[in-house]
Amino acid sequence: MHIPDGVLSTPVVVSGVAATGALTAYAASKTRTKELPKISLLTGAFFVASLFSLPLPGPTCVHPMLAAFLGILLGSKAVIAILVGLGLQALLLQYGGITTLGINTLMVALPALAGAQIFYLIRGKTGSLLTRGFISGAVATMLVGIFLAVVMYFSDERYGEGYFSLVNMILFTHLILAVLIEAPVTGFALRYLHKARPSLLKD
Amino acid sequence: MGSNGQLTGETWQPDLDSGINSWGHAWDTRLKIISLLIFVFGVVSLSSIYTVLASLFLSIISVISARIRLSFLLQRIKGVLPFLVFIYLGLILGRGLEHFYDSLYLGGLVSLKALTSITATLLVLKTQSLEEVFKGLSHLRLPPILVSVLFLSYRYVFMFVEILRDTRRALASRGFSNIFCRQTLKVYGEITGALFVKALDRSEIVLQAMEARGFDGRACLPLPINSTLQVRDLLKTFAVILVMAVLLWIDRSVLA
Repeated sequence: MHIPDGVLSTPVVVSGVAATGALTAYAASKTRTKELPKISLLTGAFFVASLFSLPLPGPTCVHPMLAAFLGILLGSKAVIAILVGLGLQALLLQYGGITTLGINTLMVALPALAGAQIFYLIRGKTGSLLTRGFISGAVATMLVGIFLAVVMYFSDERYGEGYFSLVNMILFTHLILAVLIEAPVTGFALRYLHKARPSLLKD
Repeated sequence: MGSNGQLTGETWQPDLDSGINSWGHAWDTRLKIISLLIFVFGVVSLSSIYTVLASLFLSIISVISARIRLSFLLQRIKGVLPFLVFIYLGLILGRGLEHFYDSLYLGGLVSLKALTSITATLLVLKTQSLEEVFKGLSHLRLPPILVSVLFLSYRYVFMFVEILRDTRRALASRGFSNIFCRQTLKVYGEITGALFVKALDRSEIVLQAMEARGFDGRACLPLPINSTLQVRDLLKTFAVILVMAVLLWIDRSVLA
């Protein structure tokens, strides 16, 4: 879910820009010139893959985030890929906004890094790559939902008022998306990647 | 791209109006980007619906006078519409009828700010090619790595759209139906995996080709830009800053 301009309060927007700036500067300092084509191509693939229309039960469909998948493939450089990918989505398709690019990047990048950590942490505990992909994809998406809910609540407390509040709806929809969409897609994608190019995963 | 209508049509051609001449087209790209950032950051910090309405009115007037078609605006609104509807639903359902008008006001304020930002962004996106925008960004002290990734990714996106289009065609010819079931998710997961494998395979070839041409990540940055700074460009930027300062003053002092 991309937050458009105007939804968040100025302090939240400015904090997002500052934090993303720092995180990007760190990722850029760790990036070697030789990695630029790889990061750029994966950014392009991330952009296009996140435009898939995946069906949900009923007449609706969603687009996958693939946060954990990108984190597993790129590590800390995923921050650059996510920033550029979301920037292109904002410019070309008006998904998200200019002032919210910082928060939108943080919202996907931090869970992407956490998802990747979880994927490698549970390596010894469960043998199946599909299960590890499933867990990391689901956890990353739930973290995106929690981050979005917290950011909305801190922007305006009215977003969190009532049982059917925006904050609760965000948490509920991300829980559903995590289990029904992101977990299986991440799991199957990682299993395919392992079959086709086992060297790409640090297993 | 079938159900992903976003990848077809005019939204995919951001420089469709770049052949037209207007005050917007003649504005230096770097200063135009800076002005947009000042304007949009200013708009999101406004708290009164009257000042936001004034900024939307000014944006629409600017877009029309720059000879940009308003149909572009309608296309781009589609991108933010789901989130705005979601916000209205959450506010009205969550806070109930007791706070109905306050929820309506907050939803309206948020929607108008989003609309103003979209309208103002059109002035940058539709008055020169997107590549010129990227070149302008390369002059604004962005990290060279970021600009390089932005440039390269933008080019690769079109390649991946083609690959995805072919894949969809192949799936359709095999009778694949897009319904929610385990098999569908498996197919989507494998398409995603295949897309990334193709990307990684190609990255090796691209790196060799780029290095053979002397690429070192920063050799070509900042990129040459098709405009020179003139007094009229500075005046346009100053006008934007002045308008935003007045709107902020009215918002904070008069309407507070």
